[in-house]
Amino acid sequence: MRNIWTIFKREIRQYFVSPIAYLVAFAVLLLLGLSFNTDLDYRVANQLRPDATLVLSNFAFLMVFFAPLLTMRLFAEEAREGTLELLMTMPTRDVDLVIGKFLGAWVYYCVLLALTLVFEGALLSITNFGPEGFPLRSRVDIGQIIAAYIGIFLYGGATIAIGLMFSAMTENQIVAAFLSMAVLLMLWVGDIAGLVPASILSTEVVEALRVISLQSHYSSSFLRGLIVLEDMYFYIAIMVVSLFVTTRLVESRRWR
Amino acid sequence: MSFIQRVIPNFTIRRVAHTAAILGSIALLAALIVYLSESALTTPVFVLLVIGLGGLSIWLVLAPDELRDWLMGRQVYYGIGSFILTLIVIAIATVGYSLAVEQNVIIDLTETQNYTISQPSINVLENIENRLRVLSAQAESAGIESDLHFRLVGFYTREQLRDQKSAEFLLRQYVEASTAGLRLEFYDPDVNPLLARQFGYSVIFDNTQITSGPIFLALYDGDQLLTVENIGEPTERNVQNAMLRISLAGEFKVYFIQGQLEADITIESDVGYSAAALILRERGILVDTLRLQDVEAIPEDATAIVILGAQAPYSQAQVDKIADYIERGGRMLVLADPPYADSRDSTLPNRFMLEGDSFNTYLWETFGVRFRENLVADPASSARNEFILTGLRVNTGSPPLRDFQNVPMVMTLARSLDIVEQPTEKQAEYVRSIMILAATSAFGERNLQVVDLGNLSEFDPNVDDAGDQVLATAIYRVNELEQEVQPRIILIGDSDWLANLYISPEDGSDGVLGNILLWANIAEWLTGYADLAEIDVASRPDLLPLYATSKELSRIQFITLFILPSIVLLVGGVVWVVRQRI
Repeated sequence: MRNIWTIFKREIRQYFVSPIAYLVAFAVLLLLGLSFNTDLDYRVANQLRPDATLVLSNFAFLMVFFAPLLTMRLFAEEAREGTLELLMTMPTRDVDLVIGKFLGAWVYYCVLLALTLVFEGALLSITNFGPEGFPLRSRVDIGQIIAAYIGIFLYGGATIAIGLMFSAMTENQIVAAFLSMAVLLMLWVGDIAGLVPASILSTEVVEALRVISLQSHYSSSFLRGLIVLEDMYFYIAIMVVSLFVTTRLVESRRWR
Repeated sequence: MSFIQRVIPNFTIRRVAHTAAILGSIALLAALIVYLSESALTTPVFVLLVIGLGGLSIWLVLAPDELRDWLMGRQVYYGIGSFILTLIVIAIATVGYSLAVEQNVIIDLTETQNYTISQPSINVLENIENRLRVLSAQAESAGIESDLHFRLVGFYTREQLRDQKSAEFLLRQYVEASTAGLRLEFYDPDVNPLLARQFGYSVIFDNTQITSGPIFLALYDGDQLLTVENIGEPTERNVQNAMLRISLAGEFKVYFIQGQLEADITIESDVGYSAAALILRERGILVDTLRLQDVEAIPEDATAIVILGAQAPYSQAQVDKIADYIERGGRMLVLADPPYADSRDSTLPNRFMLEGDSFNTYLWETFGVRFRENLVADPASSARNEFILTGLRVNTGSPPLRDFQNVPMVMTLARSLDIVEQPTEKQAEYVRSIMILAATSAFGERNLQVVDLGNLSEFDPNVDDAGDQVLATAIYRVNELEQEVQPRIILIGDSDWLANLYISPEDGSDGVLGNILLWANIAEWLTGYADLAEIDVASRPDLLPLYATSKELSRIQFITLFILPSIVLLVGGVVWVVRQRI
């Protein structure tokens, strides 16, 4: 446990002293801000109901591209620079190394996620906590927002675990990022596999793709205000399996 | 140098083996993909399999030492162990997932508990299943074998699997609460078009997007479909209403009074009122017309009577029949237009409910409410003229409107109601609950000629009615539940809002949602249907449109597009500068 804590602290420190992490946060917040304000203007102009989960839906989609950027260096860079071998000579188990790095990336992700609360606060300031009077202010469902945050917290853990696995597969950061982006994108669009004509994908395959899709376990439940055991379990299982495979991949360096 | 090596300079047996192995692997992968997409061992799959296995066989024959080295290598030795362990972990995770699905543990965090069925819903389910048991017992005693059961049937296309899963969360709870084997089934209407048509399934479009796959409650005897109720959107309220429609079919009857130039509920054009009757029938409520002149008393089976936009005054004899009916616990809805020649019959001035006529006097003396002889004008109306009333204030605290959702509604050419301030002993037996008020800028124009002249109304403090203009009021007995008879009355100073134009326009558009909901709420409260449908969705402010001033939007833009990203960038910049110095 102490080893995990030591590696975790080292990773967190590296995130917060790296300008790249701030640039990623800046880019994510700017993109979210643009989509949030465009949607807000559109809804006010067209008298539509507010959507408190839009920011989180967009955040989840952006993570398909940004999670690999957060994880690509974790093992690939260490392997390229030769520091991974050094780490492996230390009295640390491979699993401690993997979990420490994973937790470091996940905590950074959570900090980024926490910043999105500003958007929710802005929306609440003109809905639930807006000035009373006429016309009546709409309300957003705070319970739904809480569920959506729980879901995206778990979703983030799963995307980071997958990114970490690809980082351990190669010494090239770009290849690691590219591979994990491709896989995350496939797992994302699995939810809408039903849009592919039946002549190309059978219904059984569509249903199978939905079961393994990262988005389907978020959009049908958490995003609608539901905490569903099977969906929580799915993300935790993805994390466990990915971290297990990552540990085996790191361990495989000892066999060479 | 052999002939081949002269033609292909880099030719070696090993190179051929490698090429065959790569091609074979690609062919096997392609075979897998084609098999998954076609779900059958088709000719292309078979050909790809042969190529794949052939390529690998060539590799094994031409380079057997590579396979031996690979198998005996250190990496394969450990790798196989890791691979098997990984498979075991994945298998455990998969079994765990199946168990989690079976457990069906769902926590509904939505404020209005959108995905949780309440006890009243379970009671309704028990009620209809008990009726089913009685029917089954009757059939058995008559020597007829029966397998009566309900099924919840959903139609979702491949594109709507996400919506299907959300619906499933709610509907599974009914299946678990059922004591009579309620089943839940989903079908793809594109794969099962005949079944979909049998259920009357139709795709709901919102502009060009399919918005939902409808759910149906179906009664089956074995595999034979007996009756179907359309649930529509899978919400608790809709499911409960469908169950009530099945169990209460034919128990309520509403009479539309005729004989004094009332509106016709058979006319289907925009100015007709056929949609009002149709909405009642869709709830399983029987609808009929009644001429008071032709009957000695209002029939016992009348759950409610509706006086819809009468133009001629009621005689004392007619009012006596109504009074007798109300005394017996009858329910009545009166929609009275202003005493002005309106578009429906412009040749005759409206003489219904003049101040001092027998009907208006009865309402005042008994219930403390009467119709005024005015026309409500709202100079601040957002519509094209001041007699089209928008910005209506709805009191969702009033019992008939407890399920009303705050959505826009509209009334045109309306009159207001006068409500007693100091009730007499008789009037004090009743509660007068204001349902709808005109906007605060509205007043009651007493000079009814202004409409004919096309002039704008100007408020005259000496003549016109000032203050809040009450457009609709509900009347019911004090301590209603303790009373032997429970009469209910709703008075509304306009009938146009209920025309087809507003609740079911001919052009296929949706009409005015507020008007549709108002009619549904009134009908359900008057008949007592609402007392059975006990889901409390009184206030759904989440359904209101988003409103924000331009100042608020600018402030949000400034914070989210400038302040927040700038702070992050600034901190990053500081970190970078500090690192450079170190």
